[in-house]
Amino acid sequence: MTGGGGKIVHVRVDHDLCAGVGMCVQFAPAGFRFDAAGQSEFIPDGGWSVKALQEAADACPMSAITLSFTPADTP
Amino acid sequence: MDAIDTAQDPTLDDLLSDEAINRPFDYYRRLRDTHPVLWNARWNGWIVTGYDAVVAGYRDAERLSSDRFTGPFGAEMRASETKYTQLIGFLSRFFVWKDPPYHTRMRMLVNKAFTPKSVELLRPRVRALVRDLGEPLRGREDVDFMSEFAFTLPVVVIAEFLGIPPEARFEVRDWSNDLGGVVFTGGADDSRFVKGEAAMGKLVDFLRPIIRDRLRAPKDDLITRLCQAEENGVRLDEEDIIANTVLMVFAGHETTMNLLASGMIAFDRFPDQWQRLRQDPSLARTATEEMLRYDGPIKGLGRWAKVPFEFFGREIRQGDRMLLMQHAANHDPAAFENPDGFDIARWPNRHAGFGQGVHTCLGAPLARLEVQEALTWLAANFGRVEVLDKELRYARTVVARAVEGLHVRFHDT
Repeated sequence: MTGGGGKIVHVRVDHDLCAGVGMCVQFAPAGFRFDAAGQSEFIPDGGWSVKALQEAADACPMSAITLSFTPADTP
Repeated sequence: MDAIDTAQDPTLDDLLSDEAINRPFDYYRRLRDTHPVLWNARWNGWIVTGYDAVVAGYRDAERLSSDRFTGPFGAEMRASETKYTQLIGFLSRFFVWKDPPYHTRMRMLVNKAFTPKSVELLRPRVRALVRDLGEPLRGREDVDFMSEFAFTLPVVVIAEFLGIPPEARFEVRDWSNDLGGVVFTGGADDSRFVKGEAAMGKLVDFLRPIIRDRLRAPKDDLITRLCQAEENGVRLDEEDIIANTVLMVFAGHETTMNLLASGMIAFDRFPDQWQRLRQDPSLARTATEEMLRYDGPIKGLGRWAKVPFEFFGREIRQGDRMLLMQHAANHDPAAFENPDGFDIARWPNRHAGFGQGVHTCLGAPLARLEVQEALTWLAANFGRVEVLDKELRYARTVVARAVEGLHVRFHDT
């Protein structure tokens, strides 16, 4: 999942915290969708931008979404 | 309805019985043990008490509506519309009682102000306020916990955050109580609508000049942000700003007040947990979650079915009413180990205290911050919490878990 700038973004949605509020789905519809249980699910090949993912993570009232970055050449 | 339903035990049908109001743990356990989705002939709807069912219900805004102005809840509101124009007019703009897409638009507009990142900026102010309210409790034999601490903290915080004068808090409280009579209870009692109409009128008269002032001269407060909020070129009109400011004033203090009170009652009942918190103040975060699970301030909320569907083995008909009882869900042994115990280090804690789904409490991050700061200061300064009331009485409502008066003593050691 490259996010530009030669870095890979890793997205984690913590389902112990996610309440299915769906702010991420609204702010970054290409990055997140509801799963069958009504919780947020990351869409790896969704054509999102890192900026949108960051906005979605910030909008989450439950702090359930974390982004982390590693250099593209890291195995 | 199905044969196994409440007719076998008529005491199960009374949602306002002494047991249901003052011992909800017992009452809702009996309901859940009968069936997690139980028909209640007296209320004329489904009472949902199982964890999985409550969570699924809250997350299903597509089939379960929150709209109070159409469907089976709507008749009473619409019938009152011509008589109580201010009250019903503004209540109809409360986005808590709306479905997507209106709700989604409003929620996105106000969400930014309430994100964990945004409310974190308030922590130093909340910490100072907790200390100012907490110091005078020291060495006192009898503290009226509601009026001296639990009410003041959240109402001052939300007033300052919104940008309304904190001195107005007592008036705001009285108006909010009268509005609560309409919001939290049902039935054909006309007097609560009369009171609600008067209270709404006063709140609107109080807020309108403040909002007009912010439209002219922006400040660094939430009312200004509501005035400026824009999504796809659409702004809120003045009536929407007023309605949703009223909603935030109302929702912003009552629930947090009751949560703080229930927390003190829990710590009195489980004194070892207070000692645990004193030894490890970093537990304030998980303790706050456990307070929300163990005895949260909203017992449950209503929904109605937009379409017929099958739900946990029940045939739900179009137009059926449903009460999603998170207080009961949070004590479901299928979801929580030792559900009637109070364990401040419980983690993970997937409680439904804030509800679930698109209507999950907007103020959750702010409530968490206030309770965390209150617990941290109180536990650092007091060795023990003692509830002085021999018997605790709770408000006669299905929705709120609200103790009517709480006297405590904070012991130094």
